[in-house]
Amino acid sequence: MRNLASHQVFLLRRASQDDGYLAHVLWAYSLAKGKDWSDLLHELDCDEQALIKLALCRNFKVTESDFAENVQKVANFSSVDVMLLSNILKRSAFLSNLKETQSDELSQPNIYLAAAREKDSGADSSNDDTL
Amino acid sequence: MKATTAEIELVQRLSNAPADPVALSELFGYCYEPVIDAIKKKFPKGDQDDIYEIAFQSLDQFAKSPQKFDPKKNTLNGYLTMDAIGDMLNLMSKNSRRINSTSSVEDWEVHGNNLIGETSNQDMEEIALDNFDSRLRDLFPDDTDFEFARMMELGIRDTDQYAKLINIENESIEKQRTIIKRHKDRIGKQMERNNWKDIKKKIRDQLL
Repeated sequence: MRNLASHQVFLLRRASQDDGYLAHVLWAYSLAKGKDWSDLLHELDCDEQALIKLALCRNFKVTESDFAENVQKVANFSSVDVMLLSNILKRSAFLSNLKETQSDELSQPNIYLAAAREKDSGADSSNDDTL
Repeated sequence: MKATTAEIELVQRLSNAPADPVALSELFGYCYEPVIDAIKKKFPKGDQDDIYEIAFQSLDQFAKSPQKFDPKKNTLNGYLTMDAIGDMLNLMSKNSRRINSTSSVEDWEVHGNNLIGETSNQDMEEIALDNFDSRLRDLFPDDTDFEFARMMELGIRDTDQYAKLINIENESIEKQRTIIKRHKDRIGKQMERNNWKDIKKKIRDQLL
């Protein structure tokens, strides 16, 4: 990111912390893949100025009805390939869904454990009753 | 109309629901650097990251409620700069208060010179004065009205000065007084309608 001014580097970092910006999605995608902004430049086949323009666009969800229209708009605006961008945004959404599912699953055993404990204590107390 | 057609159109696109995804980036492309430059000019010794953050927040908040902007009163950059400078003043005022409450000699030695050195009281007064003028100018875009309001704020009571300002010095004293009173009433009402007292209080608080 050598060709960016210091305030642009700040903007990229700052916007990636705010889920209102596309930078947030792009950065989450890069992190999940163990990559950084420079790798993203290669993947999007664009320069730093195009990345800044793209990163500062308003975030929108792949599930929104006007996703195709929005992705076309931001791709045209920042001069990146619409197919490459669309692909990254969809994969990022998929990764995010996957993470949510995983965290849900991780919390599942606790639920089962709590239910089992409840059942055990119920069984114990019924045993007590019989004594 | 002070704002340009391009600015008005951009604000309109930010106001649409849902907002145009590109408009936010255009706002940053158009305003971020000029706002930073304006803050740096006012606060040459201000921390760079503070300046970047304040400019970011100013634009980010604006994008969330662009309806507050009145294109008749100011340009978009002017509006955002004023907002950011107000925030910067608040931040410096907070820093200054933190220093004033620093009691131990060690704390003073560690933080004192740095923070006090960044903005002296004189700088703060100058900035507050600029802020005062620019807010008053928002209420009175007309040069004569602005100067008239400024004289009222300074507590000037001399009829001659007002008469010269509005070019009625050749009229009889009685007529001058009547005309000046009419002007004062009109300007006073305009100030009252725009909560000038509250604006003034905020600027004064920044100095304390």
